[in-house]
Amino acid sequence: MIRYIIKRLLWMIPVILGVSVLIFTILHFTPGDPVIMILGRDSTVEAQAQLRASMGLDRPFPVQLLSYLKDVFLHFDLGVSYNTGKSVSEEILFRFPYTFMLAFSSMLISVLIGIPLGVIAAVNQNKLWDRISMFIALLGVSMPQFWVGLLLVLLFALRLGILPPSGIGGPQYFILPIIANAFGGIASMARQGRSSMLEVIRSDYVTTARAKGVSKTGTIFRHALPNALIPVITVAGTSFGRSLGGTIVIESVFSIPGIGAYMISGINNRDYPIVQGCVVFLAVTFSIIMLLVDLMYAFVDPRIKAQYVSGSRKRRVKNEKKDR
Amino acid sequence: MKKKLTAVTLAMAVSVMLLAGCGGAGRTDAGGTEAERTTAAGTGTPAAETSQPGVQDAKGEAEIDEGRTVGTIDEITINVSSDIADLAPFSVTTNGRQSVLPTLYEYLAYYDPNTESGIRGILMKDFEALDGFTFRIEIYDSIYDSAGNHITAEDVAWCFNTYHELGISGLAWLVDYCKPIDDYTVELKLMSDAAGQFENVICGQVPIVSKTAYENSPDGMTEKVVSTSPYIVDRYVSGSQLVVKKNPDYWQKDDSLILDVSRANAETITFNIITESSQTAINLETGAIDIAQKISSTEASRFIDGEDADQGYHVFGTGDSNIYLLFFNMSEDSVFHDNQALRQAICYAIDTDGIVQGAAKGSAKALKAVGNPICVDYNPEWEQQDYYDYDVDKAQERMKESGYDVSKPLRIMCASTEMSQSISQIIQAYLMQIGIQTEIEVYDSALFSTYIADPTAWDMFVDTRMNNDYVTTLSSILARKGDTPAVNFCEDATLEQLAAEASGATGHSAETVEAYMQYTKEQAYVYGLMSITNYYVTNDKVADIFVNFKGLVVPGACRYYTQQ
Repeated sequence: MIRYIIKRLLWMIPVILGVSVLIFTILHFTPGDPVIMILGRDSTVEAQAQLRASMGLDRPFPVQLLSYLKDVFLHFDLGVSYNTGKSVSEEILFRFPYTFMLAFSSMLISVLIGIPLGVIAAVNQNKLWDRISMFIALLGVSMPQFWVGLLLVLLFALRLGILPPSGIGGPQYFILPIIANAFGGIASMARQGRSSMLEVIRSDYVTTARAKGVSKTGTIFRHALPNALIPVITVAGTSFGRSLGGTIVIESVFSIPGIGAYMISGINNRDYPIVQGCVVFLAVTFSIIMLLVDLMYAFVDPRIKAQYVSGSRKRRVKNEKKDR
Repeated sequence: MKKKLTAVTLAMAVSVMLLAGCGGAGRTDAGGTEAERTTAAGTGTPAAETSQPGVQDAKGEAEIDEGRTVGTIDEITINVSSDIADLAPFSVTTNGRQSVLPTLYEYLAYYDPNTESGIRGILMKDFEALDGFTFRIEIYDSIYDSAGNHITAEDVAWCFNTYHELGISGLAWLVDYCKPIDDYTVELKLMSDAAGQFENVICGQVPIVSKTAYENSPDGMTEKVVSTSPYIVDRYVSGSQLVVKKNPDYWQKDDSLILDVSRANAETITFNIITESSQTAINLETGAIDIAQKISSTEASRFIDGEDADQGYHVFGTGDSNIYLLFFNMSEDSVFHDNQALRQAICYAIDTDGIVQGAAKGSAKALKAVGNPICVDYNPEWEQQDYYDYDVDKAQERMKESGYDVSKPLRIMCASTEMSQSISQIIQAYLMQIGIQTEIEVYDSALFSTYIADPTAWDMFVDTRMNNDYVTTLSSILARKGDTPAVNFCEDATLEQLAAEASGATGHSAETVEAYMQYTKEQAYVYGLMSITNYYVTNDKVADIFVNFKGLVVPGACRYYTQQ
């Protein structure tokens, strides 16, 4: 298992290198000049040339790329913002807790509500509870996050006056953004959960378990659910990884200084170091989340755990044979 | 039947759930019971008429409600519409920074169009123009920053030279040099003698800080500010909030010499970054902020009489420092090059009043010249003159004269703001009336800025330009100057000569301005569309607001009711 984790961590190096090269290249050749964004549309050509030189943007593309890669991989430095001169790494680390809290809480709520909804829908297929669950799921999928967010603000902040409309003053400030962010997740979790459960509860081993006298609840929770959870974990992991890159809409609606808001400001201002830094950071976090998801498969499914273990055992036996 | 009943019940339940959030805004009396105010005006703002009932002009002297006293307040909260990014004195200008810099730092002077010279000293005691380019500036000898550093001429010179060397502002090139003459006098030389440039540089571009304090600052003052301002930073959360507290040791002890802009009428000011425009009004209604600045006319209308949230709120309006213009491509290969009749046909075909109604919902003023009515050299007589007033017949006549082949559509380029897109769509509709087909090309700000410099990328573009001091200031972009081309690639020796005469500090007079403006109008290289009205809404804690020449509220300078 440890070897597997180390191998996966080592695989992250080429992934991050590829992402860094790709994002740097894309931004370099994207129209839109950061110098004009800084100096304004009516600035003189001389002033633009002077600033371009001082920012190092007049150097050939390969030189700029190598310099960037050297900073990222040798010094772990994501550069400084063109606009503020502040370190991108520091700013990302400052903003990450807000994004993490939002993403993690939303995922937790999505899992805690979405999976039971999916299970209820599956075990009561084509009955009232199935329809209610799937209607809620349909609503969640259909309604855009910003709209849900604004509706929640109108109801809980403006009409009832029990929660603040935006900002980051305390825990109460995160309630509405988390609910708005989780709403879509609950829906996809419920739909995925229902579909997986339906597949599993029609399996022979579930029928066998029921025939042997295991109760319905016991069959669902002990036999069906663990197997049905694998695709759900994939969905949860992917959406969590994506959320860590910044829940852009929610951060914007609720004025949360997260990574998404930071990246959007970087894109709008053509502040390349911010965009590159956020994308590289996203690549790293996404890779780690995906690794954790793979490890969770082993936790919920003994067959996968057995594969990891048998892989290690085979290698051990092979090595022993070699030694002999 | 059972299934149908279930479906109907579910649908009803969902509808009720959704409508619960959609209902009208609740009446939130955020600051008192008084609802009828006659006037409550701000100071220091360029004049602009806002004749809407229920909207007060942010200008002139305030009339205070009877039985209430006006003075200072413990705490006030205001919105900032975009990220502040950082607090450093010399950094890239953004809208967010512009909102907080006048509170964090002081400049040599403040631009006040209501005074004769337009300049009122803050740190500057006096100044003398040696010629159109060179100025001798004397500062007060008692200036100290919040860390106790004494500010001298050397600091002032260092600030101007640093601003110039960093080159991170479009106006940095204007400074040639700044050198100390004695302890409290500097000589500032500019690269241009155009009217308004001296004011531009000393009033809102270069914050004055102590060289020692700046060099000792571990972060270049990006978060820990040391300045001469009446406020000091208490807390800054990047991307979210800035809290400042009154500086008890503010250097200017003579009350008669403290300008309104340097007043500290609130003990604590909180700037909340709220990027989502609809959230600004909601924050005001819930009491999360006390002043909502630059909110849309649609949002502002909710606070004007007869709407949901009118109780205890005051709406102020003032002309924006930016104006909307339509630029014609004057490069050699353009259809507009050497075709004055075509340009005029388009101008006659556009109803600027229609744009005011359609794009700005009436909260704007149609332009009668390529200049902002708030400018000090704006001639009120232009209001009565014909400025391509909407006339389809005349437009069609000019079209015939132009000999333009309508088979090829023209491209209107604009930035992806709601207003620019609306204006472009309305222009597109008007031009169809005279047979001109157009395509609208919308780009984000960065791409728009890049494509403007490419004469093959557009035929016309809609854009805003700041114009809050002199109408002739715009000549710097409308007329070619040396190697720098005009923004629409216009090359006209007569225009360049008239612009040089009218905008030069020595040649700027009513006659030269008139000659320049009439020529600009006749040639129609650029067509003035409208100047919009900015709205500011406050709750009942605020007696009057102070809007600076950039159209932003300076919360410390506002006046507040001390007794509710």
